[in-house]
Amino acid sequence: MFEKVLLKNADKPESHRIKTYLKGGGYEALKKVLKGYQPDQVIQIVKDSNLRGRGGAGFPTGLKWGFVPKDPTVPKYLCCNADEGEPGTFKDRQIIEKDPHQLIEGMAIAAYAIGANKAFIYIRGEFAFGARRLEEAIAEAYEKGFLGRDILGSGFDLDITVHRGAGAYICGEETALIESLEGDRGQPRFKPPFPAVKGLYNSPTVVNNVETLSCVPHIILKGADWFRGIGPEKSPGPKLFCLSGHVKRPGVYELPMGISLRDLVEEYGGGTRSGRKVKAVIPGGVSAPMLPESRIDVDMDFDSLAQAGTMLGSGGVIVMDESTCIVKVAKRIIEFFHHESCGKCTPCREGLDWIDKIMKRLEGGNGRKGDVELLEDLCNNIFGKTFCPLGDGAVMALRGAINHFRDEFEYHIEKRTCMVA
Amino acid sequence: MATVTIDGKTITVEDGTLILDAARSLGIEIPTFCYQAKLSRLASCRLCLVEIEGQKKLQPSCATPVLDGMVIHTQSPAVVTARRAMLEFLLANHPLDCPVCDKGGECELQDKVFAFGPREGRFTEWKRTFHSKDYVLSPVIIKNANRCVQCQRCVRICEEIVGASALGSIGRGVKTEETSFMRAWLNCDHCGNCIEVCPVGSLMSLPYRYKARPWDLKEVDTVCPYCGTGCTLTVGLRDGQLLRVRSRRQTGVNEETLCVKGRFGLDFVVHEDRIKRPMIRKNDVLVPVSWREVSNYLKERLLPLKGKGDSVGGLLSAQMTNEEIYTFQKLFREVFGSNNIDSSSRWPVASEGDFYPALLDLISTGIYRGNLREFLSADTLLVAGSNLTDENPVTEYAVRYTLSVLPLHLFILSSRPSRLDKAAKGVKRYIPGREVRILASVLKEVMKAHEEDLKRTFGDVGEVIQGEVIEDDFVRALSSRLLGSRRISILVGTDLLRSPLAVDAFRVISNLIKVLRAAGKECGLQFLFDRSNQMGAIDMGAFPRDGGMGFGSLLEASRDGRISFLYVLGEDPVLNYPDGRLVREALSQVGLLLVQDAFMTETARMAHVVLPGATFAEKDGTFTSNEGRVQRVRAFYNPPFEARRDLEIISHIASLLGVDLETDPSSIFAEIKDLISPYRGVDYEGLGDNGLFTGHEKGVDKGLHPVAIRDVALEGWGFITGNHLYHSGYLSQRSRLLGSLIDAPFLEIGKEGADSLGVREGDSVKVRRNGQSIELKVRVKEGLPEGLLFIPENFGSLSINNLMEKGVYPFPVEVRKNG
Amino acid sequence: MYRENWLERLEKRYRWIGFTLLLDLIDGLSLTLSYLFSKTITMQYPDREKWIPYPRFRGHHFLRKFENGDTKCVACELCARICPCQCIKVVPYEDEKGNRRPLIYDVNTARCLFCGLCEDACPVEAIALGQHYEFSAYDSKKLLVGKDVLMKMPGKTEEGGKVVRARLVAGEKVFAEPQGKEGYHWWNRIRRR
Repeated sequence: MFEKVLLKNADKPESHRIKTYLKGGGYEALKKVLKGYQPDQVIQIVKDSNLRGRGGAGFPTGLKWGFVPKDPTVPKYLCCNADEGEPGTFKDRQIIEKDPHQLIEGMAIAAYAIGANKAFIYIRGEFAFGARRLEEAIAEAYEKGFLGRDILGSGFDLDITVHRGAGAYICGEETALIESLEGDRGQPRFKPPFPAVKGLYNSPTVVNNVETLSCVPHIILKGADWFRGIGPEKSPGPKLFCLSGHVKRPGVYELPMGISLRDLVEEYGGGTRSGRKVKAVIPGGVSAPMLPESRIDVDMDFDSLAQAGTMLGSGGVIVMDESTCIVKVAKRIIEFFHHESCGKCTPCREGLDWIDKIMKRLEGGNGRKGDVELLEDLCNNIFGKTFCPLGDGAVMALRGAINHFRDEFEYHIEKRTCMVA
Repeated sequence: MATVTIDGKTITVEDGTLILDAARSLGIEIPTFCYQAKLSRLASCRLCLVEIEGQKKLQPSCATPVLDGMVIHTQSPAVVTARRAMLEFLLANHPLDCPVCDKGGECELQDKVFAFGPREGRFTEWKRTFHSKDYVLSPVIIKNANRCVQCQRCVRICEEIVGASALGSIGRGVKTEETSFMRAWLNCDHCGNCIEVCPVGSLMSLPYRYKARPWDLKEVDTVCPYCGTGCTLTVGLRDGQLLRVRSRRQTGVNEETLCVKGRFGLDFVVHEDRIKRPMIRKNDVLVPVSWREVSNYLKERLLPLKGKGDSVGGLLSAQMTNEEIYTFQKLFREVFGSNNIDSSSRWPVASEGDFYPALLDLISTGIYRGNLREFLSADTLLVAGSNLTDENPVTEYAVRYTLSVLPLHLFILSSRPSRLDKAAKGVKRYIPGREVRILASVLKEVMKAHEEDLKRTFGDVGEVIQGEVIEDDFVRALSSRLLGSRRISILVGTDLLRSPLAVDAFRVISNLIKVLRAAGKECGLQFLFDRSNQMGAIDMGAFPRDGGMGFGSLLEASRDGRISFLYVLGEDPVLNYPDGRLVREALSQVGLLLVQDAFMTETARMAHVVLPGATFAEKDGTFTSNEGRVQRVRAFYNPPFEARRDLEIISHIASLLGVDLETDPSSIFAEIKDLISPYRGVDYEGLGDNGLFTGHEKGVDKGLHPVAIRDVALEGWGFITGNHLYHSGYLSQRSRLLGSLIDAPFLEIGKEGADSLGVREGDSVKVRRNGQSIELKVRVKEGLPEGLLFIPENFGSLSINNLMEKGVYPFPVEVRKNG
Repeated sequence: MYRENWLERLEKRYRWIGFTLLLDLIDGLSLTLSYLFSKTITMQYPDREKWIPYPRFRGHHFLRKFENGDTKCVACELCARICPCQCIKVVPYEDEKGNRRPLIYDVNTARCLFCGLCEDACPVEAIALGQHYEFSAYDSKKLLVGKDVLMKMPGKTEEGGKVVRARLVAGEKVFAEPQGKEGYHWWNRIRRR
């Protein structure tokens, strides 16, 4: 049985209080860093640990921190991306609500490593409870001297501000998050320059996911080698998987990277609730292409899933049993992305609108011959041409559905009804 | 430098050049929508995607800079497919109502689909519609959001260039709509630059709505007749009727921008107030007569005055062409033997005898005759005595643009708050007359730091500044910035010309320029004249020279009955000379008052003889802008009724006196070229789209002028005056459209002042002086210094100059809340 | 080299027989003679008859209307643009309902060459060339017709391609007024062999 790392405090009573956290060895990593490490050493440890971003793209965290210029005169910022909007994902919420101090400690260490004195937590607007918990926790941390001026006598200052978003999915994209934080419309910015060079208020900025930052204290305490020992070499560490859909035991599971998807669904999730066969599984939030039942013998880590033609994303595993109409699923996914498209670039704004209209018509029984080919062509026209990955995500999800379940689409067009009852 | 290969052609360009620019310089056309040269990069339309070898995804060429060794394809199958796809997407929700759209025929979407787009549509769903009827956003702007392609050019130009930030996006995704806040009536400059940059018919000009098709229009390039910025504009005429004005890309100083006066204010040329035929005063009534009769009358009256220099005088508008001004002063100097010529609409408060020499000295010392954009690419810019936003809007656009791309430090010294203030590193308000102390303090600081250089250049300069200097944040910031700069530019506004201590101010600025140059810095100035050819008028010598009288002295002489002939050309001093009583009294004493104008002005109503002249729309010639740029004015109308071109009338009057003067602009210009040294390199035929710059005149370096700082007292309230964004003279008063933008004259008052008077925005106040009073509506303007009021001049109905008195500025008044 | 066959040689040799017996003349005159006893082909235009052209005929222009009487024309000026003899002039305006409509729609029928390109170019099917053709005038200025006239012009009829009974009206305008719809086609009266 895997020993929980990120969620080890989650089941304790009053887990969100600083005293619970301190009892479990909390803020030891911060003390260790401030007493004994230079920022460069911290970055090196994180680099050595092979920690990869948990937000979806899987970018090596240490590398990202390393891009930040060392010039001490330039203000730098750390942003924690707590805008957890991907359907099927609810892992950051667990950390924020159950163990916020873990995140705060991680942020303090990260801020120290990159030389930031100001950090923001951009939290999803709907997480009102989480935002309150975070604010309480930050107040506690200030009180104990883990935040504020001259932390633990080291001369390092850090202020953390919680900023609640206004409910746009796109603000989970790092540059859109920065724009939104600056008070502009939540729309992505052109890269380069990357945020690590020119981000928030035109200053170097690091944007990290909640789970990523929460891993940092553990890496500091237990060492990069311990971390690298969990799961596969290339993408190691503990990972929170959000299991939902037609499974017996949905929920957040902390497991090592590289666990088999079938095990996750059948062993931890307990198979389908109805006892019917699994039809398809979305392995990493709705932008990840779905896998049919025949192909779920795949390891849950960044590289293996990429090889299987899908992605780990945020780790939101959605299980669908045989009673699911894939056309309806695809329609619902496209509806979501269409609704959340920010409208900046042409292919995403107009293309998803078009696809959404076709999907609604098709699902409603008014499909026409050639619609599937048209959808595929539109997907090709959108993919790789959008400003940010939102459009790509939508297209990949739809393509996944069409690739694996084309016959269901054809059936819908021909018979004007669902293939499954 | 980076060497890249685009479509097999190799080119070496500067690092950081955009792929798009590199390709265009090779003559390779890449279609774009959201790209606009002077605006921030958006890269959202995805039409300019190109393929870069070694990169998986297509990259937007409008935002991706070249890297050395890049191999780029702009015609590969992937790129062509992507382009077609983007256009297909844009057309998906586009209403395709080209037949009723005013943009049809010059629409970028039409052109691009025609060149690159899909030949048939596959979109069979319902189109998204925001509204079924176009809605009006302002008296000049009408919006159809359905046609929008979301390029955001309007939003960006409004925010980044104009600075009004009146437009923005509402909604998200496919429901994004670029419009005003909640689609409400726009409270903006009405400059119409958003209309100009809109690639489709989403933002349209309301006055031009449903009037013509682009191919119906005959277009004539000319120069804006309003302020001295000298914007080039293109008028579009259908069947000889002026329908619209647009600006051209990358042409002239304005580069596709125009202000509200230039774009919408040219309809004055067809105002019903035009003088239709010559008139002679008979029995105290102006009676229309024939040209023959008026010629005989003038011949009889003028022949005895030939050569009688002192008793004749001339005043002409600085909105006449160079050729007219030149011929006019030639008529006076050669035929009448008089130097009593004046042209300015900014009649100096200071003594005329000192004013003109000081002004000319400042011009010969410091003026930078060259491109404004180059002039602005300095380290430090000082704007002195101007509300740039209202007086020279397009110059302000250039400043704002420069601020966004270069590390330019802007300092503003002005009585009136302007929109540029928030972008400035230092802002100082002053009550006119007190600017000399501020500038002198800066000068003193700079001189202190460069004592060595000064000694080397000027020898022992002695005490240049006499009097007490001040030390405050502005002076400190500006002087330390001046010391740290390599290139310094100064913009001198009309408020400084009007200052009671203008002479001292000119000397201080002239000293400052000399000192900074002695310290090895580049330093120059340009004026912010508010008349289209003020610079030309000064160059042509239309000011009192060699002992001549300026207009102020002429008026005093006429009041004493010493002037027997006054020739007023295109100017309305009765309305805008800053002493209403004096000008009326004086003009009634003139032996023969000849007014030649296109419109029936107040002055014309007092005249003995009125001659029907022409507007800028009816004549050919040249204007010289504030930059010293000579540009062609081209006729697009014929003078109506019996009106004649002013040049013809002037030489007709000369011929009555037996002197032949040239009437052809190009041969007059050849004469100007020979005689006036800055114009030596300017060729009339060679004035292309961008005009030509006059050359520098080598000034005689006379060392530094000592300046004694004086104080100007202002007790209680005083008002200053100046141009409003929508009005700058009697021309704009006759524009129906500009008149509809602003309903009544108003009074601007600072916040503290308003509180102390107990008035609020919209209240009515009474302004009194010497028994004269006017009623005005209050506008509270934050940032006006205490005790200072601003009333826009040029509102004919107001006769504000009745409250003014020669030799005073600001004008002290009593203000009382009405009722 | 071309060699005549035996039949041609025979015909050539005995052609003189036909010449002497005036066979060709008799043949021709017999057709002429048969027309003496047939229905008249000459149209009695304009006194008694009038030719109603086919619907595809390109006669006088007319502007189509909506049921509420508004013209369908949106004054896009495409007709004026495509017109090869530049005889159309359109000036748009915004009517009180906010629609784009023609303020001026002039067709100079004196210049018009009735090619029908305006009809092809029209995106809203407003302008069309009808079956009306009796609009000659003594004064070429009268051939310049405006929007009001074009909107009152008769539209296309489904029927056409026949000669109907008519009556000559010689008032201010001179034209043949059709009497009834029954008609015939003169082609049917042509005798062919």
